[in-house]
Amino acid sequence: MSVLVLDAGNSIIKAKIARREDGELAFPHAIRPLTESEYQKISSKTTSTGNTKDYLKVNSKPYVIGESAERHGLLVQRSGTARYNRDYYGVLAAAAMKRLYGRGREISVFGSHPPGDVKCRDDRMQSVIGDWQIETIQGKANFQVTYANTFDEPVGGLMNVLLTEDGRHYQHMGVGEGRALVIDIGGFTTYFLAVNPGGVVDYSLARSVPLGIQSVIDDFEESFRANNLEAVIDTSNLPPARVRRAIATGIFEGGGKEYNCAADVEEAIILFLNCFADSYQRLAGGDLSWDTIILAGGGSALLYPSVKPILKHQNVILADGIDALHLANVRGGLKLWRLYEMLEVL
Amino acid sequence: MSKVYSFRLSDDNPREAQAREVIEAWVEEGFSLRYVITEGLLRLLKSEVNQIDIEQVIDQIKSIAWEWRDNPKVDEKAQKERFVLSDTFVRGVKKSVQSGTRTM
Repeated sequence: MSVLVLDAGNSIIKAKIARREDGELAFPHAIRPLTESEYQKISSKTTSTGNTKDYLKVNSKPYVIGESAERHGLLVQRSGTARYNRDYYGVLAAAAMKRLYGRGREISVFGSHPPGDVKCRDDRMQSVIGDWQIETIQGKANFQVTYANTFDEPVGGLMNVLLTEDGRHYQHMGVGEGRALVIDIGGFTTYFLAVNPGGVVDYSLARSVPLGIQSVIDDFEESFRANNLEAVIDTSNLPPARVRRAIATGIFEGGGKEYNCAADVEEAIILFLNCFADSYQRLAGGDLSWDTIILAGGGSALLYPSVKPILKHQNVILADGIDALHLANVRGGLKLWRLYEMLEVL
Repeated sequence: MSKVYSFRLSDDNPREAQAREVIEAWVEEGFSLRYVITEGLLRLLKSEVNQIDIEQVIDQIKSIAWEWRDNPKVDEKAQKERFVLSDTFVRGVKKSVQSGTRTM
């Protein structure tokens, strides 16, 4: 049976299925219910190109998700355990199913969860299990999720480094031969997870701190607003997609102009790095306890050039390529699923 | 860039069935299917065979696989052992598996 691996992070939703081409996706964590008339108005005026896939009906209820949702004004983005129900986590999972598979089928869902949310595993699994009727401008599809299970997010990043695609062998012995630390920088949280020689997770050092890329975004916005009062006076919320680009490039594009905001970005990142360095020393004990540091999570991709010097470790490896680092957890999740299948433990 | 090649080896064809056994035996020993196929094809190239069809490829892979089995090199054996998941790791994974939810 097909499996959909889902990482519904606070910042980006990531998903993967076992298909080499077009088997992965990522879209901003944003969701907004629509009225029936709003949905009809949009679907009647759009063609099957562009961001029309962001508009969908799930079990007859209309929603907009992803970048298009970010453009629909004020969003209420749920974080933590409040999102684990069928109308939120379930809808995001349904959108991922439709986008990746296109046509309906029976599937399993293997969802990652932050280590701290392990107590909400049942809610998360119940949020996706069962029947889903999904309608987009591209067509309708019926899915049946007949099995759901979960895994720890940082374990996904670890498995992506450690295992081959079929989950049956080590692919990176450097990690397996010593003691490693996985650092997963997410939207709101950074996780530290210890790994013993041989790749065995040491759950006695599984810690998290409320620090993520979202704090960089918030600090950037505050700084940018303070330095560009006239430009932002009529804008209650800066468009999230433009903010993300600004943090990556140092240039904010908006209102037909380009704003050099490199200083604002630097200031926001320094605030993050101060807290990160403190957590790294306090929770993980600094460099000397580890043979390898593995960086995972979407935040690591954006902040890698700044975070690496803080670590001062000679053996820092990324859980995937810099452009695909945000997908490391779902890629590793699929490898872990394959290993579970081989061990017949599902 | 990468490209996917796929084909079936049928139990109804004795040669293909035998090839499957060989592949499965070597995958079990720690070699990836990709490694076995790649190695076979490269050796086929070296032997300057111009007319390649799938049966020839399988024959070549079989002969290589049996050669490996009869004359294992020390470094290959070490390589295999190095990449086989350790018992400690497998025990740890099994211990950490949590129960899933199924529809009734």
